[in-house]
Amino acid sequence: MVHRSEGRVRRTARRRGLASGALLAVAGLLAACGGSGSSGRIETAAQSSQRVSNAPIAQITWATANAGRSLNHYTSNEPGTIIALSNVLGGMLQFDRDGKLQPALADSWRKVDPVTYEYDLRPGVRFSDGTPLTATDVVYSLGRNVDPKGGSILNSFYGSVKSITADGPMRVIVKLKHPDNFWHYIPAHTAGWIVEKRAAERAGKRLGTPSAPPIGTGPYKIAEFVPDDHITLVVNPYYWGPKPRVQRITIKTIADDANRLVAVRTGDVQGTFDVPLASSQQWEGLGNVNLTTTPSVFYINMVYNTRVKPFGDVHVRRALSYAIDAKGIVDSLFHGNARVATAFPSPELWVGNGLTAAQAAARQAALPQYQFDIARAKQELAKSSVPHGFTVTTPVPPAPGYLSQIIQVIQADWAKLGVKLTIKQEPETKWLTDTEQRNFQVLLTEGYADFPDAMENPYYNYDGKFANPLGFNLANYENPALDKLLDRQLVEQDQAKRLQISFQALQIAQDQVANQQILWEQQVMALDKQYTLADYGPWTFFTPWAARLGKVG
Amino acid sequence: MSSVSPLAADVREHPEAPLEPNGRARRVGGPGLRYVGARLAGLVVLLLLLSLGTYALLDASPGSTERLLLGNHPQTPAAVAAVRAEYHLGDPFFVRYGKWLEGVAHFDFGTSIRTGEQVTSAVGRAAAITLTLGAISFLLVLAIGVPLGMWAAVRRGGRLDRAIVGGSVMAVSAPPFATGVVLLYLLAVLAGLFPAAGAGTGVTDRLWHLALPALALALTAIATIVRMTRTAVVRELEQDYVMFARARGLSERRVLWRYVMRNASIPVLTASGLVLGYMVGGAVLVEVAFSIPGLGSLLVDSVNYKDLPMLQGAVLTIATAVLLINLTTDVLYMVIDPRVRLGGRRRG
Repeated sequence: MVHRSEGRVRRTARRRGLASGALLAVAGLLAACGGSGSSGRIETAAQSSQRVSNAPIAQITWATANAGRSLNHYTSNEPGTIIALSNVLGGMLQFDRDGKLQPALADSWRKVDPVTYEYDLRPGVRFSDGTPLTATDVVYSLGRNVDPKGGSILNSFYGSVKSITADGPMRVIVKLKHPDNFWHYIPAHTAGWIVEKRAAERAGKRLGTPSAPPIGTGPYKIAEFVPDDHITLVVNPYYWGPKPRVQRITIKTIADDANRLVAVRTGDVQGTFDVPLASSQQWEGLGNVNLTTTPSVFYINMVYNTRVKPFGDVHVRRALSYAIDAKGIVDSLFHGNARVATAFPSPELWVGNGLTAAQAAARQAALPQYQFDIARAKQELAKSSVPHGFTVTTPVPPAPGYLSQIIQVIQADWAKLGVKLTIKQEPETKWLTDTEQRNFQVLLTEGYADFPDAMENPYYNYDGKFANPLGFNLANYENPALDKLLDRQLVEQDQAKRLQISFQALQIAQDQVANQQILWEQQVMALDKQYTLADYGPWTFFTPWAARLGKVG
Repeated sequence: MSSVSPLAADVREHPEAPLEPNGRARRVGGPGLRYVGARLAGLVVLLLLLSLGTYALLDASPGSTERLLLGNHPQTPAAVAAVRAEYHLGDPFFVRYGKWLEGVAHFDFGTSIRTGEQVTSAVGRAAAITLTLGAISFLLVLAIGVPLGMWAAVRRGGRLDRAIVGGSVMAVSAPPFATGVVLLYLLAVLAGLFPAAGAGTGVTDRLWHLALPALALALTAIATIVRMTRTAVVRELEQDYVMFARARGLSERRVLWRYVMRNASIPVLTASGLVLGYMVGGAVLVEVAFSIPGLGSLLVDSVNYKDLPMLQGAVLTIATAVLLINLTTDVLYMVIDPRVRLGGRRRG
């Protein structure tokens, strides 16, 4: 979803404070003095292709930047929770490396009509406690998301669901209130994960605490959970898929970037998904790990609050957008670990809409863009209601650290237009409240895509009905013509027509630029040279990735 | 031969020395116990006030627990209402505080809003780590700081004295997380002797994991103890009774350990109490650098999530530890120095 993630990322800056400078400096020392002189190049996931041996691996320790506060995916959606539970729980479907839907607990599914989906469960699947999987477990697990009293924070993914019922023990039928082109991804998302019903009911409120871990169908089960410290997984003997090679995996929380780097260097930790983008070069000096990069689902976005003067004026928004040096930020702050954005969706997200990444990139590039050009920015501002500039304030949260860095770059560039930007550092809680209440003039946010559909974020960020504290149209942008298109693409059954409507909507969105997407992030994984992870991609965390680890052979 | 100890005359002439002629210290009597009882009662009152203050402050801080819990998915009003009902977030302040207090009276500190765990088990686990870290660190401070301070005092004015004092000033100037990272690099990365992160499981593993952070924390506090010890010992060494003891033919070692240290220990004890209190607070900084899930990170996470029950548990645990340390310091005072009768009748 949109908005600074509590989700996936680098909350590391939160606790570092002053420590960060000292620590990074020493970490730089470590990287410079360490390693056996390997090139330290970051490989793209496509480039790296290693043969995997089937030799069992007794134990691997993985580092995560973010602690899982609980193992209840209904209430805790943080990275620390997700990367552990994705190996324990599974849904009826699963994303592959490119984001295409593949069978998982359902070995086949069909869209019977625009509002009816049928899923046939794979026979013979057992949970890690030996209980057979039946449609009752699926109805229960998904149903908890629908019922507001189920206490699930994932209920927004089920907004269009009318009913989820079992048709016999092996078939599940989902009926929607209206067609919804976002629904079919949900069984592959965390919102579609399935838990063993009786154990979950017995656990009640304690589900996800150390005394009541969730029981799932994944390749691993939970052996030990110490909140904020580590999660240990061991092989699930009843797993329906290929036996994983790693027998035991401990996911350890190391929030501090420098400490994580040291832990990888000493070999205490064999891998991590959390190589900080802004300081990846320090990791490149490590001689004992390979670094692999892949596009991520995260993006950085500048929001203009259109209800506040002068941001209701499109010329102001365009001028400010022309004055954002996206390429400079990508090169200098992200060291190439990002791409300049051309709209909300990164090219990889169009797989769900029927375009390849290359086709999508080409079509998006043809939309109105705001390449960095101070001269054009000044021209645009001259047409506005405030041709001589104005003052503006923006709140910035403590984490991720690069938000502060980016906003300072923007501050310097906007000053050339006579726009004086004041940056207000705020604690996370206040920032979240200000964001929700639209208590800002402009806002730099980090958002992400939940599933591989290009129109998810444009829809939630631009549709007028989400311009309220519970919704994600942070810009408070209301354009009935755009709303019509956005609402149409949600229900349009013909894929070609949907594409056409989508690009019409994006055309308006880019033209009106109530939000300016700055960059799409990459993600970088560090993994001990003796191991390899197959199919590392943007959706890896939603899938049982630990089962795809193996020794290079 | 006189049956009186050769030092009796010295003690009569120098009543500031707290030793009895037979070498035993006075015992703490009745007034001491009354004093402890009163202090404990005061401790409970303090904790109550602290709990009210903490609850009020966190409650008044910006941010809504619902938003923090619900995360950044768009929410339906029904979901928000459900979370509010679940955690009684809509109730007025005193109702919520009252419910919490009622639970505490039954030794139920509630459930964490953030993790769903029982507060007692979460705080217990974190406190075990932080208090172990603080204790090891404290022992290191004493084990390194007191001998160094004594050494510096005995060799006062010389090069060794200046080196020890200078070194300890350098140590106190470096913040614990910076010292921690340097120690990490030297001892974990280069030498590979210690683990890089975490608190370990099992007794020996835990001690091994906490060694570096404890050392980092200790180094910053050593200066206080070194200087305090040095000053106290120097002052005692200049006293007349020491000169007379030496004149009597007692060995320097006996003079130092049997008489000087006993007297010098009072100011050192006071400083130790302060240092131990600092350890509990300073542990937070070190915990971050070494990814140790102690009370420090628990406090920070509880504040960030407005997790009132957990914050109360953590704050009260730390406060109790610090207050008990202070009380123990004062009681030890009375034990070591019989002239001090806190809360009782003063010796004439």
